[in-house]
Amino acid sequence: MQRASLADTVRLLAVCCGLFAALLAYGADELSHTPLPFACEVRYHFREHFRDAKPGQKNVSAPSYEREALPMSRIAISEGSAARIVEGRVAHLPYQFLVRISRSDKSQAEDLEVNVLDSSGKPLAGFPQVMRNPLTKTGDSSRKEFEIPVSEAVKKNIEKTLLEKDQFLTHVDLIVGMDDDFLSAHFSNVR
Amino acid sequence: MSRIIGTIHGSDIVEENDGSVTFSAGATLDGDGANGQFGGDPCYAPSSYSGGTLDVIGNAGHPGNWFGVVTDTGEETGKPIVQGAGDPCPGAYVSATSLHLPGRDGKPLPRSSPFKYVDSATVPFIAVPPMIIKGVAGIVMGCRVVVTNTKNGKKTEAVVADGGPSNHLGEISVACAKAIGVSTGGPHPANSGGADSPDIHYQLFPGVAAVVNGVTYSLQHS
Repeated sequence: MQRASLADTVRLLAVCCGLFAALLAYGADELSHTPLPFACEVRYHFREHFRDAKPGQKNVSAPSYEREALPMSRIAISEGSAARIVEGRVAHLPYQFLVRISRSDKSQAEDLEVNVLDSSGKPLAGFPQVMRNPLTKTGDSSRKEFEIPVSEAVKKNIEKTLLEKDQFLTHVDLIVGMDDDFLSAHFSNVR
Repeated sequence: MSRIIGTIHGSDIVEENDGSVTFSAGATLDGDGANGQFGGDPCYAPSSYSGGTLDVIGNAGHPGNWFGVVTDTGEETGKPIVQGAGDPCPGAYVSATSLHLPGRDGKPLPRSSPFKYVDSATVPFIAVPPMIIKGVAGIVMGCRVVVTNTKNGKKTEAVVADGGPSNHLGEISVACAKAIGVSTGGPHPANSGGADSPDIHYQLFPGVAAVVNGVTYSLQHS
């Protein structure tokens, strides 16, 4: 009885090991075609009036921006497709953001989907946008910008709560990026 | 003895014993002043323009409120100057820097001249807040700067050529970003590029005229 039990245990262990190895192999395979990490931030672009500029001098500042980061990307794997998703809100916009880079098979082709929903759950004009993922880890295509429309009331609220005296909002963008400069800023936010 | 001129977002701006001014910050990209002077992209252009631009038109303004480009009246309510056939980027707008360049004869150029301004696409320059311009004895606009990316050790000579907002430190031209290996991002580098981590070290030499790409810049009172 004890001998049979020992044999069963060995057999069970072997099956478990096999299953574990298969799972590891499957997981590694899935991860190998998971899109690269990316991050998203909202940029509130502004300039500042220089009230004391003399005639003939430039009377506005160079453009600059305040930024609010969206949560870090997470991996989602289902039915043979692998995706990285960023989802969330920022403090100064009444919108929900959903950004997904997905690969539907084991080919190199990826899709980038960007959606911005208002407080009633409806996509903003011009969204969702779906395209072949144009992002690369380095070079001049490591980031992509999506202009976010804002109402006059939202604009005024941003200027009142986020900007300083004499500063005015020029436009708002969602930036999606995957280069190291961009990612490091977001990782440092998390720490 | 060194002294702290001020602090912006936790970064001290220090006037050192030798009179230089140092601080560390990130790097926002400033495309202003790019008018194709040396074959690069202009900063701003109307939608009918077929080439690329360094920045999106939202940072220049819109009809009735052109705050980011040179207008015919010099007021924001005027019409943007559009470069003509004899200019470096026909069809593009004229974008300005605070630092003005003279003509070949040494005389001031008209406001509408694309060559009056420092080209962000090809000249490494930085923009600084009024706190620095007003906070030191030496003239800052046109002075020498050394910009170092401490992440990769790359450094470049640059010139102070523009004024930044009062509460922001660390703003550089697109050419400066390329010189020190800061990401220029997407199709409009001045809009989506830059680095937010405070890894860029800036050392300014107020009162010392910058020499960049073989060009000596004039110091300009602000």
